[in-house]
Amino acid sequence: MSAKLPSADGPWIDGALRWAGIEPRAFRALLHAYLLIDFRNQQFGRATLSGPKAWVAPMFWVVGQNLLLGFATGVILYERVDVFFFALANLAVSMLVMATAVIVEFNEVVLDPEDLEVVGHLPVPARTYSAARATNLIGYVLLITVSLNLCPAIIGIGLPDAGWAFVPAYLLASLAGNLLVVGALILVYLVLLGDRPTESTRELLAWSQIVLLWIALMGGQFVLLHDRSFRIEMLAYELPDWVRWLPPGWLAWFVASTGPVGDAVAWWVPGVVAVATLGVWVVVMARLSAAYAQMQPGAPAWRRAVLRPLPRPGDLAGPIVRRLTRAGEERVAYWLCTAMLRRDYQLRMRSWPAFGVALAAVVLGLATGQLGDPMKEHSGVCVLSLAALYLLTVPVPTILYNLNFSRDHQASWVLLSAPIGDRVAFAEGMRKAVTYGVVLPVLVGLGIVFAVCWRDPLDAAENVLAGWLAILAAGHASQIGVLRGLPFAAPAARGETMGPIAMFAALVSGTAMSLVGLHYLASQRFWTFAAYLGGLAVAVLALRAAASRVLEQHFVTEAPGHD
Amino acid sequence: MTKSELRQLRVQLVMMGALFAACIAASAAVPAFDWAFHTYLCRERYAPTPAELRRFVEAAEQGRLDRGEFDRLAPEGKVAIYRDWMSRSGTPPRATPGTLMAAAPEVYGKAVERTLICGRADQRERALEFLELAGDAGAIPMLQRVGRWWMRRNLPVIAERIQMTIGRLEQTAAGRPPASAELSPVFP
Repeated sequence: MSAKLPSADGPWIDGALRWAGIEPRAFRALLHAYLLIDFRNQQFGRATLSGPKAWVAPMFWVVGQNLLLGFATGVILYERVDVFFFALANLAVSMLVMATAVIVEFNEVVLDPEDLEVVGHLPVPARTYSAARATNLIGYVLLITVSLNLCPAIIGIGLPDAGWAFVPAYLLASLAGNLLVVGALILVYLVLLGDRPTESTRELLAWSQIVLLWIALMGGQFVLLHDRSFRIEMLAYELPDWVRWLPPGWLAWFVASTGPVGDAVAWWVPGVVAVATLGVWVVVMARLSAAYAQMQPGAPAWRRAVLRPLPRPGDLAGPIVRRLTRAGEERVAYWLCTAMLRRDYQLRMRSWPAFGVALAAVVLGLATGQLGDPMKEHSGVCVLSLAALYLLTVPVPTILYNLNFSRDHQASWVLLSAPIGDRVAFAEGMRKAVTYGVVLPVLVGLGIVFAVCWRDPLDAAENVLAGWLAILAAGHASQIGVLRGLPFAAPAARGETMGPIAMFAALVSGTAMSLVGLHYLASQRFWTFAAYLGGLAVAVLALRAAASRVLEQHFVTEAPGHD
Repeated sequence: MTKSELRQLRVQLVMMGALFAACIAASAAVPAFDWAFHTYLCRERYAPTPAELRRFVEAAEQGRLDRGEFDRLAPEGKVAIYRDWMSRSGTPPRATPGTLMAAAPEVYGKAVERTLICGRADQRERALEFLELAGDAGAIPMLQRVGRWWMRRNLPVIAERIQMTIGRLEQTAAGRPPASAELSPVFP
């Protein structure tokens, strides 16, 4: 996106800016630069797979995702619930996404100490800098608010209990709620935490919209086609009273009160929220102005991020990992892969989304009561439990394959020149880094969710055991299907990180979904489930033996041309 | 238009504007097609009655339900008998509602309540007939609650129809049988 200094606007704007003590030319230049940075946010760039040179900016996709999310929730709720619940759900989603978006874009729209290096030496008055930052922040909040709430505001007009005032009331409520959320979040970071959001928090939250979109689309499909219990309608009908006391509940109350039914319009709600928002923003602006004033050469800017320290050389693993891995090549590979998974955010960002579908299945199951115990519920109630369990096999080939790539791939000569005697052990270490280091903690977390929901830890453990065997099988199958050489030796070129293994990943997904059906049928009786577990264990052993043979012949550990 | 021109801020803003315009059009189409929601989406779907429950259906039609066996049925099985009555084409048997409500008033009260909240107009009508045929005045508080819900949703026509059923149940409870109403038309 080309950066061109904007032309001067009318003299009255310049006059107004000068009257406010703001230098117009510097203000415009800074605002234009911040707008460009907003459009090219790199956290969202990674989450939306738009690189710095892509002709569609990441912000375009973010706004598109927001519009789609608002449209999906609006359609799912339309004609099923009353106007109060419609506004409540949409406002809650809007406030949640707004909160995550501000954390993700904290540097771009709120405060970035790196501005000091660019702006610090220029003759930009502190007030002009503050005004440009604040204008960009308010503009960003408005853009995200409108993109999240425009579709629900229009769809909601069709509700029988929504009056002509629904659109302005809903938009007013969404703006008030989002401004309050943003102000409160900035206060929390500036006053309570005294720091910016960490890089990992921002990266993680950049994906939250995609996960929410997944939940909305999967949940919407489920609600529209398969939900015979009408959970959404019945939740709106029998809504617990405490929900009405949450902040989105107050605002939804105001929106509902503008309809043709009920008492007088609850104007006091937006009044109270406006006063609270104003109070929060006065404090926010005061704190931000103070922080902006420090953006001068020599002033104490905020501390810089530092890389996580590596373990001491030679201290490759703790006591647990020493038990899980064999000494030598296996432990070295395990340490190398887990260290890179911790340090290389590009690798993490290519790997974590694979868990999104399993996570969406768990959230959807919890929300709709479909996270049942397959040992007790022989109906569709347990489908999402089993789906979540077996969907954990899907990330295994993806992450193992992604270990091939690194931003520092040119350093792979160190590995290629290293004496690796047992190539099978090295590949085993890579597999264990993914299955034990990444997938197993998620599986244990899922087991805890099952144990709490089912109130039967034994059933949870039995199901998790089946899931673990499936993950082990997926790990050995992936060694056969995707592991071909030493890790981190190739650049992550576009299309290379997923394309070549798309068929294999589809095969793993298909097998996992078939296992869901088998697990469901087997869990009806004890002995059939025992036989199913036995079958899975045999499959794991067979795949392990096959993987050893394939790796022995095809796993490359030397540089090309090495004798 | 070259790639570098496409990447200009002005073009990106125009693209975003076009995206907003498309979403406004799509959103405006939803209320315009609300008949599709009423007809196809916001309705109860009834699965075929399992073969093992057929004898319960027939016994309920004749008013001779074996309470011992019936009580051992899971709630889903009991509701399946109600759904069989709801989805019956032609005139459904008149004895079934009374038999079922006498056997499990809570289960069937809840099933009727769900139909009244989530069902299509013809399904709501038949659910109210279920209660009128059963003549169970114990369902009146539930009906009042549902009536308030529809009033809150600004659909007084449904609330008035529910009020009519409440009146008939009160008459039945007072020992004055209500004027027998025709059963609702055949389900599609």
